Amino acid sequence: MPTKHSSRRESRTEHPFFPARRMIGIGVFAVVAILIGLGLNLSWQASLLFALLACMGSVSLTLLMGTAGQFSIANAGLLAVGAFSSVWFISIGIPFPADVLLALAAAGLVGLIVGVPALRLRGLYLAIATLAAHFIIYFVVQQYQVRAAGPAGFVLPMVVPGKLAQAQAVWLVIIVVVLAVILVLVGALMSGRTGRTWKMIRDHEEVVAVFGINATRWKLGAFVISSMILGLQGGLMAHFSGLVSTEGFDLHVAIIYLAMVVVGGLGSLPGAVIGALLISLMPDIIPALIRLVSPAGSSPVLGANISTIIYGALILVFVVFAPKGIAGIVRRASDAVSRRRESRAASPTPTTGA
Amino acid sequence: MTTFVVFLMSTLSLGGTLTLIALGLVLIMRATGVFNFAQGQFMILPALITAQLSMHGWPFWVSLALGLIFGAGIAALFYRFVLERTVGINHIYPVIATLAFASVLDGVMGIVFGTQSYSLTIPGVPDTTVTLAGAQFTVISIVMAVGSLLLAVIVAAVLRYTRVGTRVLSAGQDPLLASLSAVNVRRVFLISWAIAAVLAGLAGVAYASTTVINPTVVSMALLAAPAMVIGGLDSIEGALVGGIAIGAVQAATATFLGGEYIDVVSYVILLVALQLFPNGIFGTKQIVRA
Repeated sequence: MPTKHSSRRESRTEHPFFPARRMIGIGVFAVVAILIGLGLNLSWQASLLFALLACMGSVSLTLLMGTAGQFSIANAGLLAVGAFSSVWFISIGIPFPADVLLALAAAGLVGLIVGVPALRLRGLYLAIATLAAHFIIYFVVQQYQVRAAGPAGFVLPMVVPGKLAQAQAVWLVIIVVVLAVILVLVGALMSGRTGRTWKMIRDHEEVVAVFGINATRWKLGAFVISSMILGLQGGLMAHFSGLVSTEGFDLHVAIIYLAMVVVGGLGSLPGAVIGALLISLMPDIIPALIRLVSPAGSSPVLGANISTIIYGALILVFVVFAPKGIAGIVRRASDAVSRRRESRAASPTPTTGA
Repeated sequence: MTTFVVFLMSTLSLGGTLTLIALGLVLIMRATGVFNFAQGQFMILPALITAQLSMHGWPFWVSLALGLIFGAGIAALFYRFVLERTVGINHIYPVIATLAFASVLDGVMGIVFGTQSYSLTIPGVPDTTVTLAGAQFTVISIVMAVGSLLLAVIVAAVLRYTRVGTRVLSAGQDPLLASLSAVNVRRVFLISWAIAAVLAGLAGVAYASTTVINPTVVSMALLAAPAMVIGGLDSIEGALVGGIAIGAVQAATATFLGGEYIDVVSYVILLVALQLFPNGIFGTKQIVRA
């Protein structure tokens, strides 16, 4: 008896890499994001822009961890590679869009250097190698910052001219368009043959060689692609915020991105977007909630500690009770609804005793 | 000569701490196939509890026992209520869970203990210094260095040569076969987590008694990862050798380059070692989570 998922998948005769349903979904998401963004005031608009930037990283992680099954903790470090190489490329005279593309390449190169020794082996080596990478990158960018800019960090010149409101509106369009392109490309990679290969490596790495698949090369591919996306995000973030400092890239940031993909649902593209939006907008919501409970909670130190607890606890709750995240919960609910509808259609008179 | 003795002493002292932490990481890796990102929190939480309780007038040994029991307890609870439920799903969930648990403990420690630094005085150890080859050392630092290394050797020997140790290792290698041989695999795993937490906690206490401890010291425990990789990720002897080797590297780095280079040198060695000797010195040829 075919299960719900397989019957749904078989009935689809769409393009394997760019199915119409996903393309329409991404298009609608982009239009809605721009319309909502334009309707917000400047400070909420900035929050939304950072959340949309975070979607890029979370999409890249859902590809790496969910589809390819490789655990990396270097995501904050790779964001730092993107942001700081952008700073450096600007400082040697490379103009705006080009420096972000070079930042993307730099992050990809770092991914390659870390991935080559770690991904030849099966198991948790990437987790450990990326831990090393995080601290090495952090050290390098910290030295760079101390020597070239001082403790406060780098200030980047505005790349979008005009008043703040106009510049931010332009950024909204840039970020949404880049995110949409990433969603289309990553979506294509996650479905079809490439996605199936990664999932096979994730679930049965010991047998893939029989199919003529070089597991190392495929895992490396996933890690480098995800590194490049993080580099791109880092570069864009540097320019949008105009301020780059090492503080924004410590290990807690890596945990926040993990929370996004786990809450959204590892391996799900819409899940990654929903998780990133929810988790990034939480700092705007949590302080209000804390103040509701205790007036003393508005102190920034306590607030930071409480958010650290909330991110960790959210991940733990989802890992234990809903490992497929929000995407899994939604799918289960929609399956239940369609099953009920089908059974009602099949037998109009309810049968007793199944 | 004096420089050499200083170098030797700091190697023993750093090596002892790192070895205890690495031993715990290896034990957890062997038992449940997980790299425990919360080992740093397991390291400092008991030391902070011990310091707080003795500051409130509790006897030192009672505070220490309570601190270690608390550490072992949260590790066991984490295994029982989180890790045990991730069996059978994608193998990266347990690793994610350890990182999330580390984050929760970080937040709790930040609220309870703040950013204050604590230091422990162990009763019975004279608060004096001795002179060895022209260099002065506190008695406590020597006692702690020798003590941690001795403890690490004893734990390694127990795991290697006793029936209990064989059960722990066999349960990790093949849970199914081990359970057929009447090994209570879940209990063994739970106890492995508890022991790992106690080892890390003792490392934290040793560290707090020679220097100071505060919530930022957690990153120190992650420096045991290079030791673990050099030793071979799942090897008990490897943790000992790797711990001392990385201790020596860190002592040399601190002497010749400066303390701020310790992290970066250790982690570069990790990546280079992974490239050159992927299985470490003593590691099993290919480590795959079952």
